[in-house]
Amino acid sequence: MDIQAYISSGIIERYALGICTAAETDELEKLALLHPEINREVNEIRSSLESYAMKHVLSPPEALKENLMKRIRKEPLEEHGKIVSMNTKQNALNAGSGHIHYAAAAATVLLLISAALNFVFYGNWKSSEKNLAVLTEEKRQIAEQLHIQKASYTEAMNDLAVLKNPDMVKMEMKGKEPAPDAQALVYCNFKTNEIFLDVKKLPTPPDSMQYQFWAIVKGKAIDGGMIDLCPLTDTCGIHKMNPVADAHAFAISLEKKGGMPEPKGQIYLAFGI
Amino acid sequence: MAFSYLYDHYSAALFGIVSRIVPEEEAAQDILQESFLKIWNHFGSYDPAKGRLFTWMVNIARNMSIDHTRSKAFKSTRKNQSLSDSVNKINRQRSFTQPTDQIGLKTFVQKLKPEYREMIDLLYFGGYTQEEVSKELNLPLGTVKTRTRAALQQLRELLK
Repeated sequence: MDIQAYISSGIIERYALGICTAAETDELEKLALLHPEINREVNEIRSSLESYAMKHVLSPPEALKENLMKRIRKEPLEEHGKIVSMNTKQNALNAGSGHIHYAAAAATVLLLISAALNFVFYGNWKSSEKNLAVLTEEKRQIAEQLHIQKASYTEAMNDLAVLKNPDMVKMEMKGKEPAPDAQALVYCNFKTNEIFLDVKKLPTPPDSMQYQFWAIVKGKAIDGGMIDLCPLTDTCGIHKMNPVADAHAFAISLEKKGGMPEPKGQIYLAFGI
Repeated sequence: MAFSYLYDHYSAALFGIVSRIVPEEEAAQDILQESFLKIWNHFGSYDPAKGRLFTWMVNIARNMSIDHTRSKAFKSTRKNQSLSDSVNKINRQRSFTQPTDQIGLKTFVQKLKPEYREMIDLLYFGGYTQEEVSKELNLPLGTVKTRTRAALQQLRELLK
């Protein structure tokens, strides 16, 4: 469309004068939205006409304003009922939107609270998880300790059973030259040939050396087994030794680590010798 | 009050326009009052996108004035009285009762070509259609159309 031709066709002047047909008015208002130059033309012609009109200004009589003001005040009074009813509608709408606003505000607050609680609960969960791990570990350790205690209890009960056995004979070994303070007890069941050794006190052996237990049968020393001393207490608890029949004397000598077929080292403890 | 503001700002401009179309003082006052009531009661229908507030108000006042002259002309069956005569009469009347706030008009109008002023007055204040002006002034419609545009172009130039 040739906008310049449209502008110079005189339609804008007729529009500004208010003498266009409805169809022409529609077309022009649509075109004015699309083409700023048409809009500008319309505004300029209009304002020049209005300026021209303004040159005819004529003050109306003062009384006219007062009269008008009275009528304006009266007319809204007649419509007061309507206004009130509209207000009620408006209020209802406002009340409705008020509820929505209230609900939105409440929802926002709840969301914030929820987020805060999530944070707190996450923290709690994390620390709970940590606590659980600690407790699980503690439980494992306790179970392990219990297992050890159970084992040592069983051991102690077995030891006790050994000692309580009426067939068991208790013999007290005496400390010899190298360690006169050394103490040990030998329990021997002559029916079953079981021999138990309970070392109470014995010097800590050098690293390369180990105590060896001997049972003497008819003047001959028979290997009764190696003695593993507890490094902290230098005792061995009640220790089961090799079963030997018809033993009448016992001895403990310090030998090379691993033991010897017959005693070579010094005798530390002895019974019946 | 909003109405008071509206009235103080626009009543003289609107009254000038109404008086230009409706020469009778009393009738012009009535039309001004009715125009303001209409403006006040229909304020919600004013669409700022379609033009300035003053344009909207001027159109209301103009239309009411034109409606008045037409219905009056119909009622009094003064159809034989030439419309241009009535406009000329306005001009004559106004020249006698020219109020002080219209003094600037005289010097301004002297610059405007008389045939242009006639054209604008008939179309804008008189509420004539171009066809009516063509008949009234015994001019071809094409001439009326070109003259309308030329008149408004000169008006625009003068008011720049």
